[in-house]
Order: sequence, then C-alpha cells, then structure tokens
Amino acid sequence: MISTLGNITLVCALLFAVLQSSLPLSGTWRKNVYALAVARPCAWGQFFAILCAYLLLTLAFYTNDFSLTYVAANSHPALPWFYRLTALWGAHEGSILLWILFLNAWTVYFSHRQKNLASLPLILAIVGCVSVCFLLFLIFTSNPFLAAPYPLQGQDLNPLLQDPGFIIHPPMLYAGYVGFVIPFAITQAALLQKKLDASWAMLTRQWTLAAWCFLTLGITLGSWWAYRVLGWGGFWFWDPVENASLLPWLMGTALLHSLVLFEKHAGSVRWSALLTIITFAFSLLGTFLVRSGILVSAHTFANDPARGIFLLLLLAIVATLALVNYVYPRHATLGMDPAVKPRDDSLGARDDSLIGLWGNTLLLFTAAMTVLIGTLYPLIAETLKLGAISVGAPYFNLVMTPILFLLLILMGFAPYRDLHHRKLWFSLLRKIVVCLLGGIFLPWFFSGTIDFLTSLLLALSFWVLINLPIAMRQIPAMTIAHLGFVILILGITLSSAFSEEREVRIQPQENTRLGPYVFHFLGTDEIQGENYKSIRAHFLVKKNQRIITDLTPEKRFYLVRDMIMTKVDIHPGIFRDLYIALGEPLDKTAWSVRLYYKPFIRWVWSGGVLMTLGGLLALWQRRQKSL
Amino acid sequence: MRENKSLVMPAQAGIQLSTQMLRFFLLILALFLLFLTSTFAYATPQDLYPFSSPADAQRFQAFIKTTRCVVCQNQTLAESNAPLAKDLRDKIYTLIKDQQSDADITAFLTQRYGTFIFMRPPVNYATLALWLAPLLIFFLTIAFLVL
Amino acid sequence: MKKANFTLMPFIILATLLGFLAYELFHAKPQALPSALIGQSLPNFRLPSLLEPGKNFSAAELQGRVSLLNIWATWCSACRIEHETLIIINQRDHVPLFSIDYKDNPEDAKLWLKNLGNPYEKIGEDTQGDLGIDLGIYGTPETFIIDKQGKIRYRHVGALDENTWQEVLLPLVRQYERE
Repeated sequence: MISTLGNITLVCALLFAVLQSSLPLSGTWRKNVYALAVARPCAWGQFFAILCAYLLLTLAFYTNDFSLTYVAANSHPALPWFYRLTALWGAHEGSILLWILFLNAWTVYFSHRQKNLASLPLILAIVGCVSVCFLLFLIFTSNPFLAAPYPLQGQDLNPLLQDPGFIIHPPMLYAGYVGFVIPFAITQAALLQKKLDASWAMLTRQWTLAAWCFLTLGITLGSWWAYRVLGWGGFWFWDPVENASLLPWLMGTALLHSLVLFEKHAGSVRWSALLTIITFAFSLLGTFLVRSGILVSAHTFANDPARGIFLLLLLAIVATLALVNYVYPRHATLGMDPAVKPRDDSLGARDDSLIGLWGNTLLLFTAAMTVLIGTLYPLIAETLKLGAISVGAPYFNLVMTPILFLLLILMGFAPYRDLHHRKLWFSLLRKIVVCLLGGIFLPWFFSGTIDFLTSLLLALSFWVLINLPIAMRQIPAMTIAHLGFVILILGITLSSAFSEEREVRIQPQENTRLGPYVFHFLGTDEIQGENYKSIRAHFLVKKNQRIITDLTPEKRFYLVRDMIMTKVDIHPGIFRDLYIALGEPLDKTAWSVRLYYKPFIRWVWSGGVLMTLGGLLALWQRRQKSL
Repeated sequence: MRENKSLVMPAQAGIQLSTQMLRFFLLILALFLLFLTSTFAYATPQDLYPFSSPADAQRFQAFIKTTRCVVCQNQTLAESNAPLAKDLRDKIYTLIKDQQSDADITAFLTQRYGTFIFMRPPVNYATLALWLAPLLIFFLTIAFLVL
Repeated sequence: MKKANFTLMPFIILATLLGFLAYELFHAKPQALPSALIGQSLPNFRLPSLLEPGKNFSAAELQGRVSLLNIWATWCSACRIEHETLIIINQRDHVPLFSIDYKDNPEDAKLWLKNLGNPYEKIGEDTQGDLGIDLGIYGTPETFIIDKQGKIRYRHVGALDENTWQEVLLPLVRQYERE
C-alpha cells in the first residue's frame, strides 16, 4: 500500500516539476504573465508531493514495512527507532529522495523569501529542470518504493552508520550540496536575461552563503563522525568520497570571495558566474562519483553502471547548457548598475584587498582542481596504461600545504585596504617578527623539538590572529569565519605534531601509561544491545593519582549483518582528547588496545562550527540591512 | 567602502573582546604546551610492537601509516583489520628489528606489491602531471582570466 | 581567434572529463591490482609438502614445464567454488597444478582434499603466510601461470571460472608451452 501511495506521490512531484520547468520558460518567451505566475504554486506543489513521499517512506521504516525492498535492505525490527527513521538515507535510493527533498525545500524557501523578484519564475523554471532530471532518475532507476516480490527479511542498517553522527551529517551535507543549485539558477537566469549586475551579485552571494554554511557544517560533522566511528583517531583521510564533498566546498568558498570581489572590481563578473556553474557541477559530480563504483572508498554506495550513466548524462546536460548560456552572450554588454563604480582594473591601484580576494579565489580554485585530479588520477593512470598508481593522503597533504601557506598570508592582509603607507609596513613587520618568533620558540620551548612545518603553520596562524582585531572593527562576520579557519588549522597542526599513541597488549588488572595518564584495565563484560552483542572493556584513567574518567570501549558484533565493529571511547576536552580502541583478543584474557592522546583535536571541529557561525552572522546582518 | 556605522558601537566592544580573547588563547596555548613536556615512553614491555629506540618506533609508525592495506584498499596498514594487514605489520616490524633500512623495506614491499602499496605516489614520468598539476592549474587559470 | 579558443576550452575540458568518466563506468576495476612479479622468477621457496610427510615442495620443481600455482585455503569459500573447475582443468586440459595452502591448518586441508578431490601434484604448507607475502597476494584464491623457466607470467585473482579459463588463461598456457 505504501508502495503504491509512494509511487503516486513521486509521479505527482514529477508532474509539478515538469509544469514548474516548462510553463515559466514558455511564459518568459511569450511574455505570458499567467504562465509565469504558475511557477510558485508548482514549486509548492512539488515540495508537498515530495514531502509526502518522504514521510511515507519514513512511516514504512518506522513500522518495519518490509514489503518495500529498500526498507528491508536497510532496516531491521531490532534496530532502535531513531536509526530506523534515519536509515532512510543509509543507501542510494533513499539518499536521492533526500536530495530531491532538499532541492524542493531550498526552492520553496527561496521562492518565499524572494517573492517579489522579477526573475523568480525563470529561476524556478531552471531549478525545476534539475528537479525533473532527478525525479526521472529516482523513479526509473532508484525507486525506494519498489515492492518486494516476496516478503523479505530485514537486513539491518550498516553498523558503521549506527551512530549519532549519521543522524545529522547527511542532512546537513545534502542541504549544502543541493543548496548550490540556487546560486546556479540565479546566475543562469541572469545570463539569459543579460543582467549580471550588482543586484545579481548581492542575491547570489546571499544564497551561496546559505548553502555554504550548511556544507561547512556538514563536512565538519562528517569529520567528527569519522573520528568517533572509524577507530583510529583520524578525522580526514582524503578518501574519494570525502574529496567529493570537499570539491563543492572549495569552489563555493572561491565563489563567495569572488562575489565579494565583484563589489569592488567589476572584472570578476564572468569569473563569478563561471564559478557558480562549476560549484554546482561539482555537487553533481560528487553525487555521481559516490554512486558510480569507479572509486575505491569506505563510503561508497552500492554501484550500478546504469545509474552512473544516468547521473553522468544529467551532469553533461546541465553543465553543457549552463556553459553555452555562459559563453553565448560574449559580446553583449552585461547590464551594469550605475551605482556600482568599478575600480581601476590595475591591481593594487587603490584597494589592496583586491589582491587578497583574487588570490584567494584563484588559490581555492587551484586547490579544488588539484583535489579533483588527485582523486581521479589512479583511474587516469590505469586507462593510459601508466600502471597502478595510488594517490593517498601524503600527496594531498604535501600539495595543499603551500596553497594553505599562501591563503593564510593573504588572510592576514585581509583588513588592509591601503598598503602604501610606510607606517603600516613598520607595524606589520613588527607583527611578522612576533609571529615568526612565536612559531619557532613556543613549540621548542615547551616540547623540545622544532619542526619546520609546524613552526611555519603556527607562525602563519598567529599572523592571521594578530590581524584579527583590526578586521573585527570592519567586518565582524568575516573575522569570525576566518578565526574559525585559523582554529581549524591550529587544531590540525597541533594534533598532528603533538599527538601520541601506543598499541599495547594488556591483561585485566594491569595498567599502562600514555604520558602522564595511567590506564587501569579493570576487565571486560558481555552486554546485549538491541541488535548487537558486545564485549565491553572497562578502563579507569588516572593522572597524578587523581581519577579523570572511566572509558568503556567495545567490540560489537552485529548479528544480522554479521559484522564486527570497534566502538571506541573518548574522553573529550578543549585541549586534548583521550581516545581508546580495543584491538584483538590476544589469548584467553589479554587484549591489544590502542591508546591515543590527541591535543587540540576538538579545535578542528570547533573551527568548522565557527566558520559556519561567521557565515550565519553575515547572512543575519544582510537580513538586518534589508529590513 | 562599506560603512558599518550601525555596528560601530558593538564593534568597539568587539575589538576589546577579541583582543582579550586573542591574548587569552595565546596564554592558554602557551600554558598547555607546558604540559607537553611530560615524557612519553617508547619501549615498555606492554607494547604490542616493542622497539629499543624511539627512532625505530617512529619509523614503524611512519611505514604503517603510509602503506596501503591491499585488501581494504582505502585504509592504511595501521587502520585495517584485515588479516593480511596484520601480517604485513608484523613483517615490517620484523624487518625493522633486523636493522633493515627504510630503503630496504620500501624495496621489499615494492618488489612484491608494486608502488601502489604506498599512499604517496612515486615521482616519475607517469606521475609528472600529478605533481605539477597545482602549479599548472594556477598559472593556466591566471592566463585564462587575463586573456 | 584566441578568444574563440578560450571560449571552447571549458567545453573541451568538460567533454574530456565526462567521456573519461563514462568509459571508467564500464571498464574500471578499482580493486584490481596488477601483480608486481610478472616476468620475474618465482621466489625461491621450500615448504613442507602437505600430503608427503617429511618431504618438501620447492620452487625448483616447477621448472621445465608450464604449470599453474594456485593459492587456496579451507577457510576461503571462493576456493571451494573454484575447486571443481581446477579438477576439470587438471583432468581435461592436462595442465599441471601445484598449490600453496595459505595460512591454514594442515589437518583441515588434508580432510578438505580427501572430501573434494585433489587435482594438485604437490601442495606446500604456508602456515605463516610468508610465501603469500612474497608472492604479493591480497586475496585468496589466486592462480599464477608459471612458465618453463620458472617465471611468473600471469596472475588471476579470485575464483577461476570456466569462462575465464577458456578465454584468458588456457590460451596463455598454450602460448607459453610453445615458447
């Protein structure tokens, strides 16, 4: 029953989408006001239809309706209810439904906030086209409402997904990914109407910022989740799927900065427009890569070449049409709002922050393309018969570091508009010296080692920090976001440089040390979870004879999926995490255990959250301004 | 430029606050780095892979963190639970204890599994494009913009 | 003219990328690893022979003719599936079969062969897995084609099925026999 209802709602959504995309387009062509007016109601209709589909599927999961193949493949009666509800996006079909839901949610929110925008119907039509493609994809190749031919057993949700991180990371991530369709559509509409002006830039910037905030938060949460679940204290692996989410983020950030640039320098118009296309294309590319099966990853969904081809075709059509639209009015004058005076084209003529903004957008673009090439290179090498080449974390870390250096340098210069004054340079030089000294001597003084890379990163981070108060006076939102970025970098640098780990074999009643921390192994017991059996170890952690905490890492055995999962335990702290993971049972009672001391690792995610807050502040300020 | 008149008042407080925050951060950072002076032992009897010198222990960690597990190909030897990963960890441990140099161990692994087994791509003609990519992209983009 | 070229550039890049990805969709075998030992001599091993107590199985015994070296274990379900194919290969195509019992319990292995049949001329016991590492294996079962000089010429990973045998390996075996 749910299957039939679900299919009906999907078809309704498709109908609305078709109307939403075709009518306004013809309305614009023929200047038919009624056709244009239909756009908003269609968008709302589509949203409600998809929402119904989503709710139906959620209901199916909640009530353990295994007459649907998708539900049976990803759920189980013993699965706790909150995982049952979120298992909806645990595999391919449901995640596409989530994608479309967010697409429609963004559309109606945009439509609501911008109801008086003249180009709204056209924008809705463009989003509608994307929606039509995705709905066709869903209905014909990835339908979550497929009825099972015979009653199926629940296969349970993948144990790696049974963690709180799974409940928030995908929705945030998808909200971000999908959100880039709005700036894309706004730009395409503006290109069609040949009106790339200040109002276009302002609008695009707002909605890019909104999507960017979600994506930043989504990636941050993903990293935090990986840290909790994967069992060896890492938070970023340059895994192809992680890279797929980083690509739109890097491009989106480049886009943000180039839109800021547009306020001061009209020459960045075409670059910004191109970036909106590339950012959204990367979202689509990411969606493709994760589901195609061509990349080796811990995160990929099950693969099927037929689905891959569909997505690739989608990407091809969207990207080609968008590029044609972008390239076509080559010599047409782009409507310029006379209120915006473009500055001199020569860099550094009057506003030196241009260098920073241009540099930033170029560097981030380069970073994004490098990540793309690095991710695809093993495939390229194999096709060109260059052998089996593996491109892993060492490559990305090595290659991104110089880009990071340059970004941090530019970030420090952000608040300075005019670099021609000697006095300014004196004070800047003083600051540079302080930062360099701090970067070199602080770690040496307190831990006895100097590491060139760490010192340089610390010095550059201090460089940004030291210039922040001045920036705060001018643009608080940017300052907070930049502060977030620096905290992220500090977290990464310090946790990489100063973390300690040990892998020990330990018997109950023994204890072991990691630095000043003593871990007493009290023993293990067996516990029964809702859908798993587990061996839980008890550790008491002391420092200087004082009890800090007790930790209970587990080895879980999920019965239905027949998978063993290591559940780590963490004692979080602002300045350090203690992290413990069970290894293997070594003989009757001994276990191998991994202990980690991770300084400043919470700063990584705090930095990400702070960046999101900075972005939200910027959005809020704009809203205040426009009120 | 943009006038943020409406934000001057809170911004004044903002400057003071953020300057204080900055100082606070740096102070805490310095204080905390103090705690890093504690010694971390490298060779106690409990270590699963005990070494007689910290340098060897570091070499071991370096190897297992940058060598790919060929079974679960997206994890390093340090991370993977595959039986072959454990065998390779044990093998690398034995080789280090036998005083084999890093070059020897690299050659050992490459001979059997190819350069693919290392996370870091080699620098040779095949990977030239890969290593030069960032520079090329950066300058090509500038060229594209200027022209 | 320059402007036109640059105008086309995004399209060219896009088309290349998409074409490449489409190709990869159908041809990529992301997990497959080519053997690093192709063209090299078999590592010089000497292992206890499974069914001949007190005797050894060494690399030298594979010289002189083209043979197959199969890596298997009783705990590997794919090996069980492959076993029937191997018996057919041995009996019908008369290709000499040698094998290594990888990280296995010799008693289990003997029982296994007793129940399922033994197509192998000789079986080596690699209980510690050292030879497996020396051969660069990453998943059982694997099958190597060894030529007359004792050099490794080809590696097949995974259960060997009749089709792959007929279309890929058998022609190679015949080719090496003619050398």
